[in-house]
Amino acid sequence: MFANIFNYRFKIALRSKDAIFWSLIFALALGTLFSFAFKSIYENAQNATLDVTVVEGDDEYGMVDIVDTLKDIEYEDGTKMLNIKNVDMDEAKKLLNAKEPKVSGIIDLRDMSDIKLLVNENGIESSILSGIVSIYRQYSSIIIETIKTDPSKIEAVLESLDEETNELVESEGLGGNNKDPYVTYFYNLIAMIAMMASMTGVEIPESCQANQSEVGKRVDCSPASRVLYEISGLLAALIVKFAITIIGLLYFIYVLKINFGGDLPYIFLTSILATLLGVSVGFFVGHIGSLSKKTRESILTAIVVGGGFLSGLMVANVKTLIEVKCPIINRINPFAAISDAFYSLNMYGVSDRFYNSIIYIVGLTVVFTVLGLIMSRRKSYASL
Amino acid sequence: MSGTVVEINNLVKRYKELIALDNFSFKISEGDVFGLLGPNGSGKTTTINCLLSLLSYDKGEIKLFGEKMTPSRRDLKSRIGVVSQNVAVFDELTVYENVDYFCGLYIGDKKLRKQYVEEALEFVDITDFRKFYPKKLSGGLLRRLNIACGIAHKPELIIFDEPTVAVDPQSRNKILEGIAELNKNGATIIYTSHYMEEVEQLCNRVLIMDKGKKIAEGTKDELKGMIKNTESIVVNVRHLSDETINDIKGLHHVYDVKYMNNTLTVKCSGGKHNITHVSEYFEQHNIDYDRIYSELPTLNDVFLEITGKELRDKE
Repeated sequence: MFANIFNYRFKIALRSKDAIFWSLIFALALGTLFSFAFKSIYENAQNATLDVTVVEGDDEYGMVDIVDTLKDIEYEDGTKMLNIKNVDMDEAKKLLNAKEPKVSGIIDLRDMSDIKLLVNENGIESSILSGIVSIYRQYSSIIIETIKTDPSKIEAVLESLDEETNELVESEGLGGNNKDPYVTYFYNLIAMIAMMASMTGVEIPESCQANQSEVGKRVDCSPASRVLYEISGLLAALIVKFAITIIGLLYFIYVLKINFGGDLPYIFLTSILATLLGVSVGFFVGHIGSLSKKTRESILTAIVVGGGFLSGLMVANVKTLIEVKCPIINRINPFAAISDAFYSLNMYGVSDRFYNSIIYIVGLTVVFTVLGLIMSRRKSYASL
Repeated sequence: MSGTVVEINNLVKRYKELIALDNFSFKISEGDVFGLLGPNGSGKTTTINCLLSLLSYDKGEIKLFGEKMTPSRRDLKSRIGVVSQNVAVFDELTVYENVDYFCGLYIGDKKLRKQYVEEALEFVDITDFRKFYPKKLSGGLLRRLNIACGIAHKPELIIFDEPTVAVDPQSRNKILEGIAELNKNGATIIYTSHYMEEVEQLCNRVLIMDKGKKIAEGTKDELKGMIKNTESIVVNVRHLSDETINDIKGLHHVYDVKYMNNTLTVKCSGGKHNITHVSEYFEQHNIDYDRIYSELPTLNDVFLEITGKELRDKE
């Protein structure tokens, strides 16, 4: 019976066109678009040092370190990203408008609670500067707020900000494995593929519970063991979803030539465990009460899209803000766990932090799966 | 004497304030084709779902094959087949795979299962479509696939919950013949339907329920004997006066007369030669008519008389 259920659940997962499209085709297409977009950015801004002027003011909050960090930002080959000249605002404006020597922008640090960037033309250089200033603007506001509200948290916040900074720019001395700042987007795509597996996970309880589907009614009327049915379904779904995740990874690595760094086996391991977590999340949601199919799908969409957003997979720094404002969200958000594991690999290689993230992913997977199985006990329903 | 396959005693099922089943009881003997009839919302599907242990109930007892039915009674479930009113198959599996999948939930032995699946496909006559996916099948074929999935494991008790809804006459005929054959081969059948002629054709015992209660139960003849109407005389005649209609109402054994669209329907309760009395009246009064004939009551008459003619707006 187990083999028969497994065989057909495998075929169902493999032939489910919607699931395959969203978890594989869509992700590959998005990756291809990212790849083209980033290639063009690379070509335009290949290790160019940007001349900028910095206008400093009173360092009311003691953030001179941040100004120094700006000077230390480097490309992979050691080339400085910014060539900074400290001048007053009048001089800075003159330089910005002058044809020679040309500066790309003015970073106005006179008010650390309101860092400004002045440029006089749009382009890749202003985009890079805007990205850097935007990060520092948010960080300074977080630091200032922390100093004002709870100075005891400042060290934790600074540590968290330090990690976030490295996702986009590489600072001397942090020593991460992968120097490509855009690889994060591909990690995010892998995380997305993994979390999309939840859509397949939710179908397993749907297909064997009388209160969820007609097929569920038929299976519930049969003598098949519910737990056995679900375990065989989970196994089949996992194999198909593992394959999809691996295909995605291989496509990114060998077709798009994305440099995932030197720890490929660990990237594969993380991807597979992330897929396991994705399926288990869907499996758990599939067992919650007597929700309609649409409600379940909405919950999963919220988990995949909302969880992705909250973990910073779409907009950087969100995770840090949440860490300050409401850290519990980062603890329970499965997407954040996956993002953290990839981030650890990306920045620190195989480290304690990476192992901690992996243990956390496995822990969440076990919790979601066991809860799902506990809720799946054969029972009669109050209404159908 | 044949054994009791289904025994339901004093079943009570409430949905908050609504009493869906109100001390509902019945028995089905081995070999019966048992028709469960009732208007929308009468409690038929609730009864079936309780019987299958899909629904919990507040009071009462359900026994199948002489033993108490509970959600964990796999031994009892393995003897039951269900064909629900909604098609329950996987779109991602072919016809053959669907039947094999559901049969596999009951039959572990691969060889035996293969034989059963082939027999089920042949039984509902969809062997030629074995490699088709459900989305490519017509409504009738889909219903037949639905049946094959429910009966492939050769159950002793088969529950058909309105299996012919939205099916073309040919497919319906095929399905009804199939059900009769299953019964001939030894299966006990529970059949729910809104189509009275199907129940009349198939069932040897019928239970009519309404508002969660049993209204009537018996063989078809027993049920027909329970109602007032024993014969309807239908006359195709033009231009009848109110006086004539009142005269006919006064004839012996006549209890109701209706005249619409040049058709006079005279309902009689008891008595013999009612058609002769009506035709003699017309001849005596020199009233020409085109055609006169007698109709015996159908299950539909029984159903309407017992459950009333008002519209039901709840499923």
